Amino acid sequence: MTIEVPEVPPAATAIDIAGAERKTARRERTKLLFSSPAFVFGSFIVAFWVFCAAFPSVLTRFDPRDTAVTDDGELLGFHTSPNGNAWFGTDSVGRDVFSRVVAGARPIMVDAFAAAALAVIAGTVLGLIMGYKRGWIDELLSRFVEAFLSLPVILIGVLATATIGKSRIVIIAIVAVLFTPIVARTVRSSVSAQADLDYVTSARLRGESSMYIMAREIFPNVTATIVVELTVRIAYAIFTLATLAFLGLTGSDLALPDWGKDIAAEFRFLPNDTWWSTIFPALAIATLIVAVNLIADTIDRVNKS
Amino acid sequence: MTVTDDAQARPTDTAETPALRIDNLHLAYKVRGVPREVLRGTSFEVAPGEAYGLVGESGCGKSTSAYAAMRYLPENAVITEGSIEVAGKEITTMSNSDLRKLRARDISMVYQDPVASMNPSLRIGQQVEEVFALIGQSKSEAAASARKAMVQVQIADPDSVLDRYPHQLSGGMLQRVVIAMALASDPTLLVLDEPTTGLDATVEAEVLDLVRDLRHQTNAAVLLIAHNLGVIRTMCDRVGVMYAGKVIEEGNAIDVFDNPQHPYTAGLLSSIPRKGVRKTDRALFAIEGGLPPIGTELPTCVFIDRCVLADETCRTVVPPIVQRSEAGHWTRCHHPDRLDEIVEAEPDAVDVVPTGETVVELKGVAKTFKQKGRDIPALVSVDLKIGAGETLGLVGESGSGKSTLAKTLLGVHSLDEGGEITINGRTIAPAAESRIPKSLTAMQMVFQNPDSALNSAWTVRRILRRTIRKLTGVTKEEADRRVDELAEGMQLTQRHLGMRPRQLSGGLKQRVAIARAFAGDPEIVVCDEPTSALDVSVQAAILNLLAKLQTDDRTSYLFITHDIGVVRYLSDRIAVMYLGRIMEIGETDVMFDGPNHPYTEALLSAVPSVDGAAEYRIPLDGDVPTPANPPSGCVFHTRCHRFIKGVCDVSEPELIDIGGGHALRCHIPADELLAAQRADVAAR
Repeated sequence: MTIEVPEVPPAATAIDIAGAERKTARRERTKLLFSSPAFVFGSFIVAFWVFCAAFPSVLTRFDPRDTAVTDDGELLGFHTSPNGNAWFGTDSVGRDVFSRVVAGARPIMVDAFAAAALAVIAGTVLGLIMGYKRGWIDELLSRFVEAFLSLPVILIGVLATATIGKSRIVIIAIVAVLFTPIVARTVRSSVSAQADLDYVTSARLRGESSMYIMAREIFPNVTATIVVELTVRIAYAIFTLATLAFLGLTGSDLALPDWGKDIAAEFRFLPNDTWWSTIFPALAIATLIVAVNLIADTIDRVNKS
Repeated sequence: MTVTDDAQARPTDTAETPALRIDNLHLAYKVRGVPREVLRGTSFEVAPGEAYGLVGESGCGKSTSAYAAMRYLPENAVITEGSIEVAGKEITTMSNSDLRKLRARDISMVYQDPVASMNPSLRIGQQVEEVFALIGQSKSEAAASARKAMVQVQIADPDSVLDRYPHQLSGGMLQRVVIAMALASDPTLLVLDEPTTGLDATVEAEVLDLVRDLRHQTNAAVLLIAHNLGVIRTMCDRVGVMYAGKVIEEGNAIDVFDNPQHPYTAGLLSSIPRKGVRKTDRALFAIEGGLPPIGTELPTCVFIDRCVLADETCRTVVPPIVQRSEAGHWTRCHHPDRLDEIVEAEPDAVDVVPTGETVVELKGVAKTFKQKGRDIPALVSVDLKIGAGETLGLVGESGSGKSTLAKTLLGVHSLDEGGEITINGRTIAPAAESRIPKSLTAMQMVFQNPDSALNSAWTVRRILRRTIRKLTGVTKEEADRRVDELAEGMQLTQRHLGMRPRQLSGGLKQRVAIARAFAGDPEIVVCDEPTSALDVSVQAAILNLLAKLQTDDRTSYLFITHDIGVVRYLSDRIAVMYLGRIMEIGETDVMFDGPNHPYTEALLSAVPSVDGAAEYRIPLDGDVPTPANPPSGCVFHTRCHRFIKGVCDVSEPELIDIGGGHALRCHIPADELLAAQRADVAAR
C-alpha cells in the first residue's frame, strides 16, 4: 500500500540523460532529496493522499455520499464518536467521516493541480515576455500584476462566484487567474537575469526571433524556478479552494465529499464535543498543504546546493 | 606563548612564531551532499612582517586557503585534517567567541570587490569608526582614528570621503577605505584576496603602491592571493605555487619567477606573453588540459594529468619535497632537472600579413544613451578602418567606451544618426534585428565570460549546429557535418560535443564560444576580453587558437583587452580609447616605441611586470570623468601629467596623423612629446 509515487520530478534537469557526469549529478541530487527527512515525510503524506484520490474505494467501507449502513443493514447513527466501524466517527447526517475524508482528496487535489498548472502556464508566458522584452510592455504588464496582487483572493472569489456562477470550472479559472500574476512576477525575475546573459546577445547576433529566444533559449534555463513555483502554487491552491468551499462558494451539492464544505457544515457542533466531524477534514487539509510545502522547500534547497 | 596587547612586547614575542602557519590542511566542500576535497594537504607559513603570495589557477584552492586562515568558511566546508595557527593560536578548534576576538584584533581581510565589502546604506565614516569601536575605542577616539586612517591610506580629502556613501566613491577609493578598515586593529596578519582584480590597471597600480607603503609602516604580515603573476612578483617576498589544493613549489619570489623548479610553474610562466613577444615571433606555450574537478582522487603527484614529464615514478610514488637552493626554494617534483624538456616547444609562428584592403569601416560612429532625459555620449564620432586579416587591439580603462564601440559595431546598440558602418563597402543597418543575414554572418563576437556566453541548457553540438543553420541556411545533416569539422579545428572532441557547458572547463567553454563565432565563416570577429576570465595557462592556448584561425581564414579581429602583454602579442594595430574617443592609434611596434599620447604613456607604465623590470609609474590621478559631463577642451586634461594650462582646457585637439598611420589626439606636437618622454625615461 505504501507505493512511492513521485508526484514531482526530483529536479528540473530530470529530463536530461546525456553524459555520465550529469547522471551522477542527478543521482546525487536525488539522493540528497531522499536523505532529507522533510522531503521523505512530505512525500509519504502526499503519496497517501494521491492514493486516496486515485483509489478511494480501496480504503473505505461506506458510500461517502450517503448515510452509512453496515453490511448487516444497521445504521451507524448520527454524530457517533470514532469507533471500530467508523474510524473517524459519523457526521450530523450519519455519514462515515473517514469515507468522506478519503473521498474528498480527489476533487481538491485535481482542482488544485489544474488551477496551479494553468496559473503556472499563463504566468510563465507572461513572465517570459516581461523579463525578456522589458520596456513599455513590461511596465504595462507589471502594473497589471501589481493591481492583481493587491486584490484579496477571497473577496474576488466571493464576487466572481456571485456574478459568474459556482461551477467547478469557474472556481478553477478564478484561482488560476488570481495566481497567474504571482507566478508571472517570479518567472519574470528569473528570466530577466537570464536575458542579461551573453548567450541571449549571441542569439540576437545570429538573427533569432524574440519568440525563439524566449521559448528555446531562455525557457530551459528557468525550469527550476517553474517547478518550485508549481509546487508552491499547488499548496496555495489547496488552501484557497478549501477556503472557498468553507465559505460555501463552490457548488451547492452537499452530498459530494468536500473537506472545506464538511468543515463548514460541522464546525457549529464543536461546542457539543463533536470534534471528529470537523477536525479530521481540517487535518486532511493541513497535512496535505504542509506536505506539499515540505517538498517544495526541499526541492528549492537542493536546486540551490 | 602568552598573548599581550603591549605593542612593545609584540615583535620579540612573535619573532619565532609565524603570523600564519597552515599545516597539512585537508578541507572539503559538500556539493549535493557529497564531501569533495579542495585542499589536499596544504602547508605554508607566513613569517611576521613578511609578504607571502599564493599563485595558481582558479579552483586550485588559493582563496579557500585565505578564507581558512580566518576560518571564515561557507557552511558546506569541512576541515577533515590539519591545523591552522594564527600568531601561534590554533583556530580550527577555537570557540566562536574567541574566533570573533581574533578576527577583530589579529587578522584582517581585504576582499576582491570593495563594493560588496561595504554597507551601501551607511556613510563611510560610520563604517570606519565601527571598526575602531570594535577594538574598544570610545566614540570620539574612533572618529579621530577614522580620520587618521584615511590620511594613512593617502586619501586627500578625508572629511568629505568619511561623509559620503560607498556608491559615491570609485572602486579604487573604496578599496583604500577597505584597506584602512582592515588595518585599523593593527593586525598581525593581513589577508588580501585578489584585492585589485576588479580594478583598472591604472588604479591597481596605485592600490599596490599603497599596500607596499603601508607594509613598511605597520609591520603586518601579508598573505596575498592573486592570479596576476606580475602583481605577486612586485608585492611579495616569498611565493607558494598552488595546484589542486597543494603547495607544489615555494621560495623567494625572485627565485620562483626567474628560476622555476616545478613543471607547472615553468609552464605557467612561459605561457604569459611577455618581453614584448608578438604572434609573428612564436606561438605561446600552453599547458594542455585543466585542473581536475574538486574531489578527484590524486594519490601521488597532483599535477600528473597535465605534466609532459610524468612517468612511472610519478604515478606510483608521492613526489618528495626537493630543496633547490639554500634560500629555501623547494619543489614537489621527481624531475626538477628535466624542466628544459617542456618549454619553448612551439615554434610555429603566425604569418598573416594584412593586405591593407579594408573589410570594416566606421565613419563618424557615435552612440548617445538617454538617461532620465539627459544625453550621455558614450561614443563620440569614431572613425576606424579594419583590414582583412588584421587585428586591431582596443585598450582603455573601464568607462572608456571600448565595449560600447564593439556593441555598436555589432548592432546590439544602434548607432546615432549621421554615422555609418560598412562591410566590404556595403553600408549595414544600425540594429542587429534589422540587418540582413549576410551582414549578421559577416560579424560575430567572442564574449568575455564563457559561462554567460553559452546557453547552459544546450549541448555544445546544439549550440554550434543552430548557429551554423541560422547563419548559413544549410540542412540539419549538412550542419551536423560542419559541426564535426568546426569542432576538430577547435580541438574539441566528439565527447565534448555531447556535453553541456557546465561540464566543460573555462578554456573548453571559450573554445566552444570561439567555434560559434567562426561557425558562419565571418569577416570580422569582435573579441571582448576573451581571455580575462581565464587562467594564464589556458589563455595561451586560446590566443594561439585565435592566431591560428586568423592565419587560416584571414579573419579580422577587433580585440578588446586591458592586458598590455596580450594586446601587444596579438595586435597589428592598437587604438587607445578615452571617454568615447580614440586618443591614439597606430601600428603595435610604433605604439610601444613612442611618441605616445600622455594617456597611453600612463597606461603602459601601470603594468606590474612578471619580468621584474624596473618600474616607473606615471600616476593617473582621479577617475575617468563621467561621459554625461565631459571636461572642457581635451577630455583627458584633468588627469594629464603634461597638461598645459590655457591650451588643453580650452580647445579639444584633433586626431592628427603623424605619419605611418600613427595618429594622436594631443596639443603637444609629436616631436616635443617624444623628446619629453625620452627625457623622462633618461631621468629615471
